Amino acid sequence: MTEKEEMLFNVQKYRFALIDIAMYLDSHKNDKEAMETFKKYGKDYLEAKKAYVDKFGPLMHSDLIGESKWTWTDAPWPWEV
Amino acid sequence: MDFMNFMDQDFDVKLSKAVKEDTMHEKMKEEMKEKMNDNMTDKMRNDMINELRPLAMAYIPMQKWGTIYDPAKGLKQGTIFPDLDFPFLGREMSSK
Repeated sequence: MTEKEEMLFNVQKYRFALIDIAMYLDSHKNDKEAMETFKKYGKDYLEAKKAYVDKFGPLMHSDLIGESKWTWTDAPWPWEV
Repeated sequence: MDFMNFMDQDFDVKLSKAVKEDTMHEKMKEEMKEKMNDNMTDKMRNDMINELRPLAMAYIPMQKWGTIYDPAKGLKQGTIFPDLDFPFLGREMSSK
């Protein structure tokens, strides 16, 4: 796995964990342990995403909010990687 | 209290409470009072509750929070919950 792949995988795995815990929380909204885990992986997700975006460019349009230049089209498209 | 209101995560808690507080449907209440006692194990209680559920009414037990996979394994399995991890095997499942 290249460094880029590994960093993208980190974003994906935390993002997936967040989605799965979110669905659990939808039906168990007062579960403290689930909420703590959501927060923990939420932090990991944000860190992993920031690390990736800083190094390899935006993953979503919203990553460009706060940027002065539109770099969305600079990075290779998924099929060019 | 309507029977349908019991169909959630606190099912048996509410059921015991309702039995004590006389807020249940008369017929069910009689059946429950007859059978329920403080020395019942969880399994006996669950079996009894299952017995009293009406026919042809679908019921899905509420998931409980337990151990979860680490995120990498969760992504691979398609769920972070070992309790919900039932990979498609293309054949009949035998018990784990």
